[in-house]
Amino acid sequence: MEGIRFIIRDLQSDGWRSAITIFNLIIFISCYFCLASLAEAGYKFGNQTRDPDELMMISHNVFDLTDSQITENDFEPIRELIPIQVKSVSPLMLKHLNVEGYFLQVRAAQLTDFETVHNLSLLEGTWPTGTNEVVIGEGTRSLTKWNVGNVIRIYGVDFKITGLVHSTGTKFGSLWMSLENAEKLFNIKDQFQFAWIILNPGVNPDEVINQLTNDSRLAGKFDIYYADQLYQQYSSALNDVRDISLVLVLLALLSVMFGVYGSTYLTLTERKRELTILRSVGFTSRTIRVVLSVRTIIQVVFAYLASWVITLIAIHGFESVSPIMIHSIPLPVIISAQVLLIGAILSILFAWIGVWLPTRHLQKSSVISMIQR
Amino acid sequence: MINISDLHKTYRRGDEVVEAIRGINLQVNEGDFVVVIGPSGGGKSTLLNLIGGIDHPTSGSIRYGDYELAGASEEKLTIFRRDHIGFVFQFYNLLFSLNAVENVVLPLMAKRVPMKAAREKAIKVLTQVGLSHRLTHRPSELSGGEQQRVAIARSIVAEPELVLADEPTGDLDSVATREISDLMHQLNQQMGITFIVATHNLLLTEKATRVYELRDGAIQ
Repeated sequence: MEGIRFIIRDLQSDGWRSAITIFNLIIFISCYFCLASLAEAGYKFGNQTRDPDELMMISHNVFDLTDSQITENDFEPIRELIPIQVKSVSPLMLKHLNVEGYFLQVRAAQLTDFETVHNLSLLEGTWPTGTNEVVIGEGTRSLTKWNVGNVIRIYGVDFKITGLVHSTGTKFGSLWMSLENAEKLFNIKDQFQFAWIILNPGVNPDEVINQLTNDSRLAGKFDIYYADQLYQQYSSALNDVRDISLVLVLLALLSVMFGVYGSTYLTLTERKRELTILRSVGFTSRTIRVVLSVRTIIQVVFAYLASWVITLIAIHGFESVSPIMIHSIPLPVIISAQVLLIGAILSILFAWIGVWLPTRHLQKSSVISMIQR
Repeated sequence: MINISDLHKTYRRGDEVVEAIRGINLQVNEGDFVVVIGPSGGGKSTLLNLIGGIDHPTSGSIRYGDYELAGASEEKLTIFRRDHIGFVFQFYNLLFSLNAVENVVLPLMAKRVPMKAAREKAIKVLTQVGLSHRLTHRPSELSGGEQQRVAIARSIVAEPELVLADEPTGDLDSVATREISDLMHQLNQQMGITFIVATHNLLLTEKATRVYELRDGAIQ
């Protein structure tokens, strides 16, 4: 402990250089936090579990899914496969709406399908029972900060939030209401965007897709996809961002290494006198290396904690002002324990390498050579 | 204690080969107070650096008891210095960021002496050299003579058998020179520490057990 006290005293006495080194490290480590969090958010977004038992039917070749149009009659070829291959088929309405200033996915389904077909599970509050009631997904809440009991205005009509639900994929950031409410709200009847198909266990989904695609009543008018295919398409757009972020993460950590290398090299050059004194009074080159490493690690730990706090504040501020959205689905960017731990280990490792590289010759150099250098 | 035989040290200065030490033979016994005098550039500092393992000889032998310094690795020389030798330099060579006690503690830290014991020992030695009232002063707050006393305290705190002093009074006025000279002789007589002092100042030769004159790298 006394040794560390000595090193801290030395850092204080070398105030400007210590401050500049820590400031440099804060910049690089903050970059690491931002990029690693973004990469992790992208990775989590694109790696949610797939459910091959769920298919969806939409209009042929639509670009914007809200342009898809399916009527009750179009469900008929699918219903004919019940109960052998298909367990159920349900209508789903999808609208992209500006609700209270937020651009959200509004989904409408039969209340009985919320849990059984769309796998929503209630985290807080109750399911909607009456008119003008909705539930919101976790993503929507993290974006809007709405709570159960709040009243929000959708398409000119007040709705009460009765519950908070957990869901996966594109449904994570949705707002859900009953089909009846939606039909009344938008003044449309028998017009949906999706037919949501649940297959019986063990049924080959590709066979069903093939069968429905070749049905003359549907062929050329509708496309059948895996239910999470849409989500996969959204997430594939994130792959490049994720990959670039990972490369930049590595560069940020390498910058930590080269920053430490530079400051250690300067220390060796400019503080030759002190190092020579230490050698002459009996400090081995190995001990001096340990002293320089501990000195650097103290700076890195300080910079790491400061960067963590700064990045937390920055992400929080950024999320509250302009959250990152992928097709109306919020992309939650957080500094996870994993990012924190891996970053700490790698920062210290790279910093240690940054000390090791310029000091590796110390073991062979004589004290007189340090005086003469 | 120290046997030096046929010691040579040459180095290059541009295209020129300089023979700094030329075939020196020397024996120093335990408890000696040896003073090496001679003109600047005569090889005094080089000789001390070689005896202290700070520099490597070109050829010859420096035996410390049974231990041969010539040819030893840097790491072994450092450990040897730590365990057997104290250094006093002309310009004190104290760390500016540390106070007197902390500067004196350094050799004990290198020997991994527990900090509490090291501090107690440092305070004791600083008191011995007359600096009990300057324990927490930094070098910038001390006079030249006081700084040299701190440097002497640092050189003896780890109880070395040998102290090498290179122009220890070179930067001091006559009063401080006398004080430092007396202090080194006192430590030599009371603690039995062997001193080898390189100096221009003949005052230091007054109580020396042996005096050598080094000129052009050779003992006259």
